[in-house]
Amino acid sequence: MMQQIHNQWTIEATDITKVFREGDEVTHVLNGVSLALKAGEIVSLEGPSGSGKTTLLSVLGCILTPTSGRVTVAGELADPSRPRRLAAIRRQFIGFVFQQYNLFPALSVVENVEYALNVKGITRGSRAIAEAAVEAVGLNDRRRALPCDLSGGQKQRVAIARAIASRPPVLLVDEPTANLDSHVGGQILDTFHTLARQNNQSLLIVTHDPSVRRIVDRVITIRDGQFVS
Amino acid sequence: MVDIALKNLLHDKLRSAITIAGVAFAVTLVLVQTGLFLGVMDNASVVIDHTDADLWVTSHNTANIDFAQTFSEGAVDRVRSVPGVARADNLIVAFMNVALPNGATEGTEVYALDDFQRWGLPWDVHEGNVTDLQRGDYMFVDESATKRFGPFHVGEYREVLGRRLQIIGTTRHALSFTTSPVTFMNYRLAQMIQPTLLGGYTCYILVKLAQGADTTVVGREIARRLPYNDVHTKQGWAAQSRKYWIVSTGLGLSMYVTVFLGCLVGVVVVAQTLYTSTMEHWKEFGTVKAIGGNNADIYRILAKQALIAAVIGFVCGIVLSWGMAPLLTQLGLRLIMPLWLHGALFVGTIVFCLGAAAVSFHKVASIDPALVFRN
Repeated sequence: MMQQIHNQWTIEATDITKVFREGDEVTHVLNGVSLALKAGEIVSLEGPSGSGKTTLLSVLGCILTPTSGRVTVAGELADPSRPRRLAAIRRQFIGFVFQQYNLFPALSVVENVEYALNVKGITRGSRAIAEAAVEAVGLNDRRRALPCDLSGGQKQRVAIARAIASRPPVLLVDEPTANLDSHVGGQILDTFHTLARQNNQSLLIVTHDPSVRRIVDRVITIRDGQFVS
Repeated sequence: MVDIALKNLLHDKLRSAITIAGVAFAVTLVLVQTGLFLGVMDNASVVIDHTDADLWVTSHNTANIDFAQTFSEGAVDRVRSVPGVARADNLIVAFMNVALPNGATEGTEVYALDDFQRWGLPWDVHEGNVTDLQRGDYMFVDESATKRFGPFHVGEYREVLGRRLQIIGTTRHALSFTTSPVTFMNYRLAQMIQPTLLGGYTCYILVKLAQGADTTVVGREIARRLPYNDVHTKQGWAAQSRKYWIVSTGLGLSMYVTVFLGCLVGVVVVAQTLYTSTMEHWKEFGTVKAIGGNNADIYRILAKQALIAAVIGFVCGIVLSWGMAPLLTQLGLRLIMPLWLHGALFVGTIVFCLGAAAVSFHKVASIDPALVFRN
């Protein structure tokens, strides 16, 4: 459900660092980055491979905890010492769209969306909400199809429907056009743009694709774990 | 709500079929083996169970009903004089040879009493009147003897240790653990046929207590008066006869090993297929965690898959077992599958399948939701 945000930022990350240690090897992936998105704002995060884009996305999504710094989502501080609360923040406030879609192969289009709602604790009327989300992404005629019978673009739309169905204030999207041709990629971006604006959702898109710039309000570039613009 | 466990099972039909087949195989193995065991054990004590006696007096250290030892038949008078005894009679149980029409000889286990009807023996008479056994050289033969004696009919004669006896009746379900066909004849006739071994001797004394008499008190008094005999309650004697065969033949161990192997096969198949399924759905389970689900959400999916496989596999196993029952009966094997065995097996199947699912729980707990961003 759309949350009432008192702060002007729906998601805010302050001075985030992330260090990975493997034996004696220490890798500084994020070096003190700060980022904030307003409701309805669309931002792209660009950068070369290994620059820390996905790590930042994981930290913002409360999947990874930062080595230092703080993340606030919908006004609530993501406390790394409370993993159950982090999961609750993900359930309540964040919608994810993954590059590989990560759909459940045994579930139909509408069931994929409905199951995500169930996981988020929405059971009453979940089928109707899922059907509305599927309709919103233009897949109404394929709602009973299994993922294996869908094209890449259609799978991406299912992933979008799954992310938006619970109307979270924040959408985090990983390489949405990476596996699509430019025409379908363009349609997907339009869908994101329309839905984010319609629902007043903050949308952060991690991408290599310059065509994404067409729909965003801001572009942030990251290199070696630091923002460069 | 979406039933993802059921959907997963229906989606991966081959794997589900293998899982269900594994459970069904295990259930069939355990049920049939236990059923055969119970059948054989029932044979070991079926006569004791059906005899209307509260106490059995046996020769000292007699191991089971089939391997009877003799003692003086006069002991029965001392038993009859014990307060609380309503009636007591001698019973002979002895192995004798029967000459068949084709010239061959077969063994039979003879039960000999003066008055069979008084003791409820034989309990399932198919043809004839059991009181006629008192009137001459007659015998009743259990129908199960057909396998060893060949076909026989009422009115025909057979030679028992050289004495010609007429078959005047047939019985059903009178069986022995030794598989020797059971025959019934008069007590004196049995002594006349085998005078050197049985003349003046009996094998058992059957005791019926007077109403209100205490089994323990009367049993103790009989034991006091017959110090060279043993006195058993009906249940105790039946249990001892069964236990003898369970221990001495290794049948019990064999049954436990087969049941254990059956359970092991079921657990391994379910654990293996669920584990493989978990590994294949690794990324999906990571997605569940990433979107805010927790380990319990995934445990529920796995547990439900295991439960569905357990229930369907159990039903298939039961159908298979009951389907095999007539075939086994034709082979002369008795299968006893009581309701309590089905209940116990159902509970066991559920517990073992959930246990098998728990193998995957450990793996699921280690899923890092961050894997959803990896290609």
